[in-house]
Amino acid sequence: MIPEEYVKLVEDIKYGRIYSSTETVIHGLEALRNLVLRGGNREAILSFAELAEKLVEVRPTSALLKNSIREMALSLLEAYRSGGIEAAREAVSEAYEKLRERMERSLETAAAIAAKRIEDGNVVLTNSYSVFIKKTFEKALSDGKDFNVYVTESRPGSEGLNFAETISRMGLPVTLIVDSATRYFMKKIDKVFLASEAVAANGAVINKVGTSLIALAANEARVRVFIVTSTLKFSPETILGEYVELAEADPNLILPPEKREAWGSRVKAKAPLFDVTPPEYIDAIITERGLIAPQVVVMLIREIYGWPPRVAKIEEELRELKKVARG
Amino acid sequence: MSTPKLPEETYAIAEDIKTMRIRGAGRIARAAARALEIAAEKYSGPDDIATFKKYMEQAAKLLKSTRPTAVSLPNAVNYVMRVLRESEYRSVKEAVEAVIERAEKFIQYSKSATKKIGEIGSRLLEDGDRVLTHCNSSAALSVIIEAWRRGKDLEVYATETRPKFQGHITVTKLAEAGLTVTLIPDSAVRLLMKRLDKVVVGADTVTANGAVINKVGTSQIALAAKEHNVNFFVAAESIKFSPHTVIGELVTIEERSPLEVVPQEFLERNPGIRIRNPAFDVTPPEYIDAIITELGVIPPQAAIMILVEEYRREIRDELLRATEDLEE
Repeated sequence: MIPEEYVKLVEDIKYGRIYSSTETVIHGLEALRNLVLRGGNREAILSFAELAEKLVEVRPTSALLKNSIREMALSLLEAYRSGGIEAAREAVSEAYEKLRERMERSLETAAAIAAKRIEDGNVVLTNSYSVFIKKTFEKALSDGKDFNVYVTESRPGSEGLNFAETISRMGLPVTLIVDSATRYFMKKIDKVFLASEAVAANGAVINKVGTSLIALAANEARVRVFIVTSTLKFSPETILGEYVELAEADPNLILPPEKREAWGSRVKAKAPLFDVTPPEYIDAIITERGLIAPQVVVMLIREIYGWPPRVAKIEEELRELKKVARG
Repeated sequence: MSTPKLPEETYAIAEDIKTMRIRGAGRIARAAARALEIAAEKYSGPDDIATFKKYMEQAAKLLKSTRPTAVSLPNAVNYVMRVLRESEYRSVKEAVEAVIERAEKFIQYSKSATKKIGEIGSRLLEDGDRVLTHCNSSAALSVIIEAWRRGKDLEVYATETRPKFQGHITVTKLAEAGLTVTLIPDSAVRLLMKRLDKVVVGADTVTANGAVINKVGTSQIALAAKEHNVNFFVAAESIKFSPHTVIGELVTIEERSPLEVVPQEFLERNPGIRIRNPAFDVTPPEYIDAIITELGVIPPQAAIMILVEEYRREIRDELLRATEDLEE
């Protein structure tokens, strides 16, 4: 059973109501840690496993979520086996802190590298709401770069509005446009900066829906596309041929309540949260390990996870965890 | 002697076109013709042809100024006004009758054009096709609905079409006609494209080189369709072909109020954010497989053919004007 207080969190994560994909994962990990810290003995471990299963199920797209939960669950399992709940509590806190630190570090480094790609006078385009892009702009600003930013509204969630407000408060000149106007303005854009929910082994980038359309229009107009991300968002499973499942938002996001009755069952809605941008439309992927061509992602995955990649299946790991907790 | 004032109804129609209460190029054109008809009917000035002509030209100018992008508007106005500009009349009564007759003729032709486009275009859709449309176009809907009426089973998708959500009108009309339709956000068109067979959209203006000016977002849908080898069709009455573009004139893309995109309080809260809200964009002819008109299906490159046939006189006048400008 997932405790009452986390039911809403699961739904928010499912429907992408927490804007940034990195922040989404941090909220999830925090909840997992707290379950172990505050719960009883076996129940703590069981509810960790259950919430973790649920999170992976509702947000299958997020490589960061999978990678982080995998690490957390592994340390939890080892510690609980050898030292019981006390050791488990210590291990989960430590794993959480370590992951947070790695995220923070990769965010700082990737953003610093990406900021170098912004030049004086540049007009930059981005979509949605990303802490990686925010940090990149922050660094470019503090480096004294004079640039301005176009932000797309980013339906169905409209996070772009929020992002435009955030970076406008940093002092950046911001222009907000609807998603449909992307190609219209592409001629004016010098560079496109986008974030990611996951990066696949072939260098394809999964990100907020609309990203691939922006990258396509940029490619047509010969505008460079940069992805700012962390190797924690690389998806090792994709090397083994696994697809990244694309999560969908709540269709009611685009079905106005006052029209639903009149429309009845003849009008349906589809509100995807993510899409896939092929590597051909991406000029570079920037992580804490530097700036690489998308085709090189596979080499980095190999370096991090070995060859063939040694990646525990999360589902199995969590099942094992439950078994141990039940004794 | 001053020209008599135009009737309230004519102003009201002009206002409705401007504020987009009347929208869709065909409907705008018919409303403009109707507004001229009303102006003629209600003329209360002296029985003097010159005064009447001046009065009607004023109405024409007012109507043309309401929407800069929609070419159907000047085309409709010029079509009706041609009877006044090119013929001699013995009395104002005779001239009024000529204008009314001409306006009625235009309205009938325009209505039957949409129907004809449906009949012709429906042949381009096949049983089982998955079709996407953007914004709200009577001509495009006519194609889709007619194909469905002829027993073709279609899976239809419609974009919401920010900022004004004209997609909501489209899904309402399709549902009323009996079709099932799926609404998607504009950002999802490339993701969806893999599943599609055809795209059918309308047009605001077709230029001499076969480019199509239509609701913003159309050109990126066409780009994604091209990328996926999905057929991209434009349904457009011949009244949407622009004779001015033959002499190299650019079509002005109208930018509309930021309040269509965000509420007033967002603007007040964020003085540093500028909103840009173009109403239209330009789809190049390379991305268009065919334009469906009431005169037949043509490749976009043959747009000039329609222009020469339908607007010979306007083109001649435009060219004359252009060369006179050169000689001066």
